[in-house]
Amino acid sequence: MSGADAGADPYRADARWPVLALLREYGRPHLPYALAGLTVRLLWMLPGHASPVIVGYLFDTVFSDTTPFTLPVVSPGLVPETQLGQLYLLVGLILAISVVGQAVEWIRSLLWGVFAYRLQHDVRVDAYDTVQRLEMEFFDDHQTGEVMSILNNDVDAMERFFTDTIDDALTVVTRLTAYAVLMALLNWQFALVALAVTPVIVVANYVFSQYIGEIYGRVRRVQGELNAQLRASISGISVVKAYTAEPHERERVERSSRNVVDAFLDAIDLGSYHYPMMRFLTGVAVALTFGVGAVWVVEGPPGPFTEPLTTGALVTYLIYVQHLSWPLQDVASVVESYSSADASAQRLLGVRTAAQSVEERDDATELTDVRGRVEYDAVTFAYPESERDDAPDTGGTADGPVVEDATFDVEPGETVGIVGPTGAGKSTLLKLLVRFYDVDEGAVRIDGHDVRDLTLESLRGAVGFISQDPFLFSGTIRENVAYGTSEVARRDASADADGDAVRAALERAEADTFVEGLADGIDTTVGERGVKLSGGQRQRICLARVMLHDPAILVLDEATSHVDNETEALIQRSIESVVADRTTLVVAHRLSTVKDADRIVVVDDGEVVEQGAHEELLDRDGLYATLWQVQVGDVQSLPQSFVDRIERRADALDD
Amino acid sequence: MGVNADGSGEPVPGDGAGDDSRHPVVWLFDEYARPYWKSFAGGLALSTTEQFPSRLQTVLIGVAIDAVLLGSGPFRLPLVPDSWLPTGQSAQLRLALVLLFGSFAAVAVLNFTSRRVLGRFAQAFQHEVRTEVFDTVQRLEMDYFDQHDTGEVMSVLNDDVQELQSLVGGVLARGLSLVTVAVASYAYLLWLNWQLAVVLSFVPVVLFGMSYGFSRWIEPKQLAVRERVGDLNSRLNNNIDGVSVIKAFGTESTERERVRSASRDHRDAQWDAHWASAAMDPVTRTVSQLARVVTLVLGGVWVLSGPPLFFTGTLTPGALYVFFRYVGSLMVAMQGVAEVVDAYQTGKAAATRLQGVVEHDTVVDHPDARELTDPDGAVSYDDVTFTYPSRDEPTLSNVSFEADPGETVGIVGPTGAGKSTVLKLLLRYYDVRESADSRAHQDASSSENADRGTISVDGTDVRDVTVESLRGAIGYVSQDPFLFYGTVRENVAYARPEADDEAVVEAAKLAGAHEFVADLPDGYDTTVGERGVKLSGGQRQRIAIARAILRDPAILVLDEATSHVDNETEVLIQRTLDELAADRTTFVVAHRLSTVRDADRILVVDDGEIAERGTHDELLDRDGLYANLWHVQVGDVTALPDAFLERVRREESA
Repeated sequence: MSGADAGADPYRADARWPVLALLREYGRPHLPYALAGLTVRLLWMLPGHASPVIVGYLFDTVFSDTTPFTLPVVSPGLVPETQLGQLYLLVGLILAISVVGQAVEWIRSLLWGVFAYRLQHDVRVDAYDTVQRLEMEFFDDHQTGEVMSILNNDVDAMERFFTDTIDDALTVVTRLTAYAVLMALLNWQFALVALAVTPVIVVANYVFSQYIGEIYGRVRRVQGELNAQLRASISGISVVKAYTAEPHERERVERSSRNVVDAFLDAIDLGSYHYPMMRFLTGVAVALTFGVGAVWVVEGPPGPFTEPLTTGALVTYLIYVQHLSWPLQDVASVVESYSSADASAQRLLGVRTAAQSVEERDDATELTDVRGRVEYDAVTFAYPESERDDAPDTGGTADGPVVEDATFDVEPGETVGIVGPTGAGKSTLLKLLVRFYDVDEGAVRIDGHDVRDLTLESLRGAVGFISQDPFLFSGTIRENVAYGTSEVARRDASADADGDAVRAALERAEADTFVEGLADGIDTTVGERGVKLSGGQRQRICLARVMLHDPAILVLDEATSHVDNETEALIQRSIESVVADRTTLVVAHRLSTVKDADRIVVVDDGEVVEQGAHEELLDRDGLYATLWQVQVGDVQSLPQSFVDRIERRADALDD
Repeated sequence: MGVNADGSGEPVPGDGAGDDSRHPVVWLFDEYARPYWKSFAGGLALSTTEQFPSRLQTVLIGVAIDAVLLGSGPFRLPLVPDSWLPTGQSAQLRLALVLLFGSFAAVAVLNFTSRRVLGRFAQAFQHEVRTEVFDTVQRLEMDYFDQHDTGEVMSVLNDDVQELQSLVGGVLARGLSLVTVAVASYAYLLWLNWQLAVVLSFVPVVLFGMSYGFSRWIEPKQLAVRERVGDLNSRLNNNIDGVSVIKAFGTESTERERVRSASRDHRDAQWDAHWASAAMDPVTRTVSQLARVVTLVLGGVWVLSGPPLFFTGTLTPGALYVFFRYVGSLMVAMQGVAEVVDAYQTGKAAATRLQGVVEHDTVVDHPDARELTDPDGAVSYDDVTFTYPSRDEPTLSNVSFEADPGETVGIVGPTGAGKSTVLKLLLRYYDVRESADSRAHQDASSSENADRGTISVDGTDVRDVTVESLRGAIGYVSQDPFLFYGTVRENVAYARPEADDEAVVEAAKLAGAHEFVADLPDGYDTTVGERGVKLSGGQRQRIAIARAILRDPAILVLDEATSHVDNETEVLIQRTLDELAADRTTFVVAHRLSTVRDADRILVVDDGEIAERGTHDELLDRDGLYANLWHVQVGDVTALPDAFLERVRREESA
């Protein structure tokens, strides 16, 4: 998704029938199963619903001798003579239909299951793959929750649609068709009477389904609001308590809850019309069938009708008519499920149209034998239009480029700190190096190669990137440290030989001491269901992960900004041992972090304003010197112009 | 069949409810449903009654088939003397039709009314439970919220309360109506032909057993599906959260494979459950079909050639029609029973969790607690030792200090030293529970660690004043500046909703927030939070400070209030603080030492004890813990003694 329509529904696909488009795209390999299931269903449609006809026939031929007992196809000689024999034959037939029917149903359900579950699996995996290959700007722009809701809720909605809704809809259609056909075959004139109420039921259901969708939409909305209210009250519980605002919160929750109750009452009221009305209409159909049918049987066809009706046939009709109502009640839920599947399919298709801002050139070369020289040559970069509001570190002046004409070199093995006030564009510089974004003007080069001419894989393999939020995957520490090593190595990650490499990496990252102290050492599970580690501990595991990769260039993007001072001291010491022989770029907000760097590049408003070692910069008494005053708490002696400036910036930043 | 007991909310026998407390479902209804018992009972009665006219329809048709169509039996009706009934065929048909219509109308009316009455009951009940449980929860001690994250609490307040709807509709109403269907059908069958009815009574029992057994059998499979869904979702969530790592390491294809395999596991579990139900459904249906066939054969032989086997009397074709139809509807009813039992289990679990939450402890005011009126702000801690209820080791030991009115006290120390705890006790987020011997679970050896000491404001023990007046005297700003969904004005005026605009603006000015707020699109009426304008951490923090000082508290507590903002923003906040702190007792807990550098006094907390105290310069001269922390602050990592680093490392792995 680029630019223009970042509006209400950013993932709209163009497809007119998104569900069909999705089906066409993913359904093909599994289509035989769906078709087989459908064929079985159609073949069995009439025989499967024939037992009421037989029961009716039983009444006519066996219980009252109004009709001679004959069987189609079977030669008269084989037809049983006695009533008991006929009874057994017909009951046997019903039993046979039932048993065969169950077998058929079993096969059908398995065939449909194969189709639906495979389809859903493919859609899910492919949606995930599409999303993970989108470039970083997509993730800056969309919160995890939003992305998850596509991968999760939308795929689930599709699943429900394919497994249940289509199946239900087909059942409704085949059942109604089978009833109508069988009734018409038996006595088409009386079928008209028996089915007279059906159109009313269909229309009534359809009308109700409209309202149901609307009301349940409102129910979901107010429930979401209540949810948000509860969540806010619980998340802010310490504020609530500090201000003894419990009565106030209670009132707010009560109000939200009242809204939910009101919405539900509307739904209940609608239901209280809907279901009794359906039952009543079905009742009218039964009474009509029975009343007209009884007169028809006793006194012959009334009015314009000519075909006689037997008691047995009437019994058959009564059974059918009583069965009519429930499939019709499903119409509403089918309609609702379709409309939600439609929206989901649209988003699933739409996410793929999200623009790729960073693309690998066709003639991209591999970056090999990296020495680690990094050049920023007159780099200018602005976040794409749509992200500007949300992207981190956007420039102080909201509309200008985040990085402007930045030029500096980093020699192989050198450690360079990049500092500057919030929003100066520090992190953006690093993101351009690993191509989370591409420069607008100028170039970023590694060993003289423009990064845009390199394959993403070799580029990112050469650069170890550690971000502000140390992210660990759920799994063991060993798995996390060994993350991203080649597939083969990963598979052996359990083998102990590999454990040594992991331990060595942990040691270099100063993480070995606390890891040893954990219950299962490097096999301790971390994350959601595992041990909770502190920010500093996680950061050092991330550091170990990068160590294991041994990249030529190391990039630390505010890697220590979320840990406390003491932990930072530890991390810093580990970093020192790590950076010794590789090119290192360190972005830091806390100046203490970069104090000992070979060189410090001071960035302000996207431009490089000062360069040099800590002492040199302090002597210059420029921006760096002021920032250092902040660091050591000399707030009162700050120049007024600086305070005004950061005040302006802090306020402009988020307008 | 376990459901019938639910009508009155009685426990199902043998479900293991303890003797000491009420059954959770009973408790829930007893506690919250009392005011609505009339509509509850009425709704259940209506939905029960509905089944009788509803079941009558088939009987009417059966009787009419006999009397009017086939002439194979007399025209009779249950509970109506035969002498009242017409004798002519057309009159009988007319009566049958009228009754048929009447029963449809009755069903419609009863269904309509019972839906409304029960629906209203369920909503009122839920509303009551939701509000009351929320109210109880928000009054729980902070300890509860330390141990349960928001998600957990939400799932009780939201999901479990939602569950009550199905407890009322899905369990009580449905269960009762299923029972009535069975009873009504069976009553009509007994009336028609008691012998056949008795013989066929095995049908519902068998079907119930089957459907119950089946649901037990398939349950683990469905559980497996839910677990796989959980696994799959956490993998997806994890990967989306860590997408920058995935990209940095170029592991997209590996991750795709991992997601694929999680998705495949999910699919396999689904398939397993699908297979089980695809295999089981036909079996149940065949059995119920067999029951119908048995009915047809037995009944058919009976109709044709008189009573078979040990039966006596006659059976008419019309009665056979009724039997044939009812065997079918009984089948449906019995299959529903298993669902009702399942829903009941879920509902009971929800009720248990709700009960568990409500029966937690709350901070209670002394019965004779006084109001703390217009305090000067003198605070004193006298030998305070405190252990969190969920921990074994004390977090604070022998903490004593005094703060004079108007003084600014900085509290610093390494992570986990107990800095924030000191102030949480002042606010009575936790209470120091003094009576050592009443703590039954404490053994003798730890009695020296037992809670003791007093915290007083203006010389009054904080436990002797009401929580409301105490907290009213303290302005508290926490690490996470939490803003509620609403306007800036609502957030600032949170403590005093009646505050006028002038006061709000005044507070905002003091907090250094007025300027940026005035620049927001709608000024003070701009909506913040979720769907509103996004504010930066520093801006939110300044609004939170404005909120704290609107009440003009005698004591101001800043609990790591600036730890999440960057250095420059901190400068801004710090500059406003000087003004704020001028005439109130101010406590500043800080991790960043630059924040407290200018405080009147700095307390250095280490391992729950006050290790050093003094001004910045005094402490630097002492060259102790504070001096080391300061080295860290200014990046003199190499100047740190090894012993200090060793200590940090040790503490961390502890």
